[in-house]
Amino acid sequence: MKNVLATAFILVNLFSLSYSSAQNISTQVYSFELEDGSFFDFRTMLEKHAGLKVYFDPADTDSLKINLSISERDLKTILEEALKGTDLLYALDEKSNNLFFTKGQKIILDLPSNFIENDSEKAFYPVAEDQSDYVYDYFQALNNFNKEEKKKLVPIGIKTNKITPGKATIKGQVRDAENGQPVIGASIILEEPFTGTATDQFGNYTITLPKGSRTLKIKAVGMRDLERNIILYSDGTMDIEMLENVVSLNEVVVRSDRDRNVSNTQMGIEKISIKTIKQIPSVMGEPDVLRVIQTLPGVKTVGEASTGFNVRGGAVDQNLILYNNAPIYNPSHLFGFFSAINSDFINEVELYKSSIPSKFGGRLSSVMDMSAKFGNKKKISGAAGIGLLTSKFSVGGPLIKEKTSFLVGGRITYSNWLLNLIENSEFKNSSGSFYDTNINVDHAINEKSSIAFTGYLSNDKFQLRSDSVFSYDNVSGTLEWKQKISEKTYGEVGISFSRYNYKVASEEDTVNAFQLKFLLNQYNLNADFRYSLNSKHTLSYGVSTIYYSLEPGSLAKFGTSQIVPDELEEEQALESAIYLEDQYEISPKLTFNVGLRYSIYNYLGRKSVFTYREGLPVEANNRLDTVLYDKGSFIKNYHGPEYRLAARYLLSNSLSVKVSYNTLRQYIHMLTNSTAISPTDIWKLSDPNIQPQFGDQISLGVYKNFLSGIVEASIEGYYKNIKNYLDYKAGAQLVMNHEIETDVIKTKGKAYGVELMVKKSLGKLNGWITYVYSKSLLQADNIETGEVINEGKWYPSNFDKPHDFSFIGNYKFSHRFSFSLNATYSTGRPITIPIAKYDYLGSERVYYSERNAYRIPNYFRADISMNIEGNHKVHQKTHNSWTVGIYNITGRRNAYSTYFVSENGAIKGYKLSIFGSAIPYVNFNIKF
Amino acid sequence: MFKQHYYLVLGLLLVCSCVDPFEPKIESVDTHFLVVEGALILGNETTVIRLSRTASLADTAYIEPENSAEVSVIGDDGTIQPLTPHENGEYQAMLDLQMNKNYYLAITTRDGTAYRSDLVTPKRSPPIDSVSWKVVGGSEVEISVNTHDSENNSIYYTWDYVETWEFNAAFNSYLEYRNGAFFDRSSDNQIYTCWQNNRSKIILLGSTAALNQDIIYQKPILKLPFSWKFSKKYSILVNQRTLSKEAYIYFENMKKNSENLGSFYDAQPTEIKGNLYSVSDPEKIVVGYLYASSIQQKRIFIEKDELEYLYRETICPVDGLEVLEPNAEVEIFEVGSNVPIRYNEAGVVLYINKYCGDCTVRGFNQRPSFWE
Repeated sequence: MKNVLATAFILVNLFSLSYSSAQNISTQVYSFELEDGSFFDFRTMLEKHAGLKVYFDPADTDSLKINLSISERDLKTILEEALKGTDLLYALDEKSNNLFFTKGQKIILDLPSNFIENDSEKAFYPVAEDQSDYVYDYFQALNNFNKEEKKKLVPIGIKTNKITPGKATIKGQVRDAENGQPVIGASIILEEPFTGTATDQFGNYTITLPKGSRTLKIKAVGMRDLERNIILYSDGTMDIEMLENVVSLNEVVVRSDRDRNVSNTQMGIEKISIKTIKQIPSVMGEPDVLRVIQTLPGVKTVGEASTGFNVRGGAVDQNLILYNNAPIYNPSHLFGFFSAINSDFINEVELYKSSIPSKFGGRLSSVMDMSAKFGNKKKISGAAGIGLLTSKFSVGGPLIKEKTSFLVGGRITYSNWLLNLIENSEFKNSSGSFYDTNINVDHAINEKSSIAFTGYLSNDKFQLRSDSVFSYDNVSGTLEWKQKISEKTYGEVGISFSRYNYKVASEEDTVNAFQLKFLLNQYNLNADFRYSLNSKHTLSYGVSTIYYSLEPGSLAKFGTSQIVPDELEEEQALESAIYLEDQYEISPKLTFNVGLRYSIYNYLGRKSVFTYREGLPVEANNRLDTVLYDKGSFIKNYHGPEYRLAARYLLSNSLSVKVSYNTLRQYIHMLTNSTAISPTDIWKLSDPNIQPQFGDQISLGVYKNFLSGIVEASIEGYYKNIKNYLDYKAGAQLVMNHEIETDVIKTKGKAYGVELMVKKSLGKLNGWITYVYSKSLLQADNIETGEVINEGKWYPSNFDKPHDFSFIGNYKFSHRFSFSLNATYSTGRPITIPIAKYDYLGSERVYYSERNAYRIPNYFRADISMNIEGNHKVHQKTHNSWTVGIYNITGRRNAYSTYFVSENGAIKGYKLSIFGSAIPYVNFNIKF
Repeated sequence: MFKQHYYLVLGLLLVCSCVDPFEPKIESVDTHFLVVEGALILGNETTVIRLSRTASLADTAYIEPENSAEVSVIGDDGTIQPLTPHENGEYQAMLDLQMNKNYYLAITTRDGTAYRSDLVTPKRSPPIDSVSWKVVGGSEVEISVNTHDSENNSIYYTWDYVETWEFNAAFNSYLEYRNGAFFDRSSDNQIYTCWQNNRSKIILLGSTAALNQDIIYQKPILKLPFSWKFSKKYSILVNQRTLSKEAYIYFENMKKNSENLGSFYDAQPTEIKGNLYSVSDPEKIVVGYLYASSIQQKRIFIEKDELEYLYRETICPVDGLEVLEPNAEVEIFEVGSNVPIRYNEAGVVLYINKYCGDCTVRGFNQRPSFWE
């Protein structure tokens, strides 16, 4: 019994008070005077005058108004009077002076009569005629509450006897009852007639509804669903406190905005809470954002050890990866074994792959928007995790209570010991390490404005089998001001800075010692606004500008080395954009999103630029001249409109059809010799010889929800075109190349596919299944733009993997134990291989297949993991959990790459697997 | 230097990574493509067409020549000029080609398959203006070619070369050992001065497409580190032909594919289809590109005195001569690989290993006809 109650209290905020008197409180008389008071006031009176300890759930009482005028009556009468017309029940424990308020179910303070008898079956569930009203298990009770909740009516506005027809507007804020942080993106939905809204960045919402008796559903990721029965008399306010889903204290639940799938105009959006990310088995047990993203339909990766991903047949560099508005150029640690951003500092991840909001631009395929997590505004809390390869720690809390919070932390690796374990002498000269640190501070200036700072720094350094040391850094800082300008206008102004640099150095060998460096700096300025014109139109508009400054490469000698120092000229450019988007709700069923973005790109001096004879391939033989441009002069301008159109038609509450069309432009390119991101990849700005990439995409999708949104199903098809995507000539040299344009080929691309997804977001068994059929093709048919490949026919791109299947499943055995299974299967990626050898002009040469005519073997992997939680007592100092799992349980040797070597006159092929066996791991996590 | 990350990936394999054989399914018949090498030569030089077959990668055997084929050159005026088979898959003829006519190559291999090329138009190569050389970095000789076409017609060039150099054995042998006896060596059997030659093995290409004038200036074709090639006298014969634009692109690609060694992270190679194909199955792969051009040649000599370089024999010591033991002739000269040099003061034969005393081990002792 005691245990049951103790568990129950996890949910309940405890408000302690002065200690009780010795009198028998049930016979004592009191006088209470309360006019239109809140439940809080009522509670204070009870505590002060009657000396009671009061327990209640704020979510049950936040909209309650109490009128009392009672003199000299006993407590029972007072309580009954106060609770009249509400569905609150009370239980008074006279021995301890505890008073419990519950909704719907009354708490029984006595043990069942047969409890002491050794009849365990009956002990916990007393045989009572009105059993449904009395429950001992809080969780069971919760379900009953939800059924009961509809009875509770919240009056909004000025109460009138007769409700005049028409609409009225409710405003308010949705907060997390636990830490006071506003709940962003919570949806408030009226099912009939269908109307919905979502809370803004301050947790504020506004919804206009027909007056009368209505039932609102309030939902948010990771929160317990709420229902509010309201009587809407006139315009009014209602603040809502939501409770975190109790089981998600440590446990994991796959959730998303349930109705959003069907009702949102935009399509191709994947929204994932960090809790989902934490449950998916990953290498070495470290929760990994990018690895989860890669299980979503339409997102693929070329290999296990690569963090770069391909969205809908696009290249790795066509994804805009944002951490609180600042782009992250190399999103990986240790060559892709870990994501660069610590998941403890991510609140939520959104991936846009078909309708990309007008706010975003500059990349063709997708936008991955990671929003930063901020600290708890009520109390200090933290988390720590210990794994085999990495450890991390974070702590956050209020700087000024309820106003300012901080969250700082870091992560380090100590993988060197594993390398040292390997007896193979090839690894003797090897080491690898990384760290990252984050600091996030937010401050609520007032109800209408807030300011937030995020800082991020990561470093990787490794040396493997050779004396070359690789290192790279990601740095970003953002400062953002959010302002509710008026009831209808909301604005955000931000500045941010991002840096990516790498260094490859060999400082031991005296003849070949060198240092190779690359640096990219990006400065962003953006202002974004939202204006709710009326119930039909919501406008988004804004401006942004980016200044790029690149040091594309410098090669320096070291010591007495014979290396000839070399430096590539710096590059700089300005990319600006202005946009306007209108979300136009023609009828509750039909909604349009119409956006226009105009982007302008200026390639700036100082820089010397080569010119090539027109109509001939861009190559050294055809070079005409070198033109030197002064600092600040405009060398080349590119500009043009981008259209973002989307429409949704609701066939029923649970079935919708969406269509979208997008055009995009990309001014910065990543040049890579390999199919995966590697540390010597170069980012290159568009210039007179390398044109920006253009892309357009049309998508069509059907979305259906079953079992009132618990199961979501969707099918989406897309077709896209890409222009000026860069492929490389045979033998292209990308590092330290002064004429990089002579080694690239401009190709045309097209990609199409169908994505199927079924997702169950609630219940003991949850997860998703996806299947995707897609093609990604390139064409290089014009010798003037570089080279003709495969006689100008369409050929598969490096990341063309037609069949892709994934399954993510999580089964919750109890509140403390859950099991996850993750399985993926995909077609092997295409490769070009030598197929024959021959003798020509005195040399033995190899003959290659057509480009990408062969494939590496198909990929399959299954992982399992178990989460074991410590107990859920709320008052213990720390909560801990274990994650135990096995990565690649079947031990399949998936090919990461293939290569060919000449051995004794024959040329032999080999495939290399990175995780060629089952890898067990264990992680220990602490929250406080 | 920048390829190191390959090892990095290996390094991360930790305890569980592995390398397994990868044998993609390539049909073996697919790897037996016909390879056609050579050009139709305009003017008074022999046309040599060499036919061979590609081999599968796993084959350790030498690449086999395609003998017993019928090869002829057919003009668009109906003329047929057959080529005579020689060994090693070579087919030769002195062709009578006209500048304003088009020709194609017709091949019937011994399995009866007919191949042909597209029609090609002979191009006339301008003369080589000069072949020049200079010392680079104090340790290398760089040889360059200069040419120009005042009519601006040639534009795309290809070169090959034959190097020849004269050298001496470390010791001059005055004696011959024949049938158990020693004789004075005759001058037509000398083994002190020899010549060696070497053909180019890489594809050399040049283009003037970006220039306003059709001038090739100081195009480096060869870099030679100082070596025994310059111990006495060095000569190089440079052959120049002109190419069509398509042929140039084809050979440029072949060069990239096969002369830049591929590694794990390199950009992907591409094959371009040439202008030869099977008559019955035009999709069948034929390696090579046929073109027709006149040939221009230039030879230069480099004397050792023109270089600030003295070749030093390091293997054969100056005092390395050995004295012949009595009755050891058979063992030394018939079983062993030695050569008699001269008599010593006592009238005993001094000898040394053939490598030091017989230049024909490393060359041939007939003076080339062109040698100055």
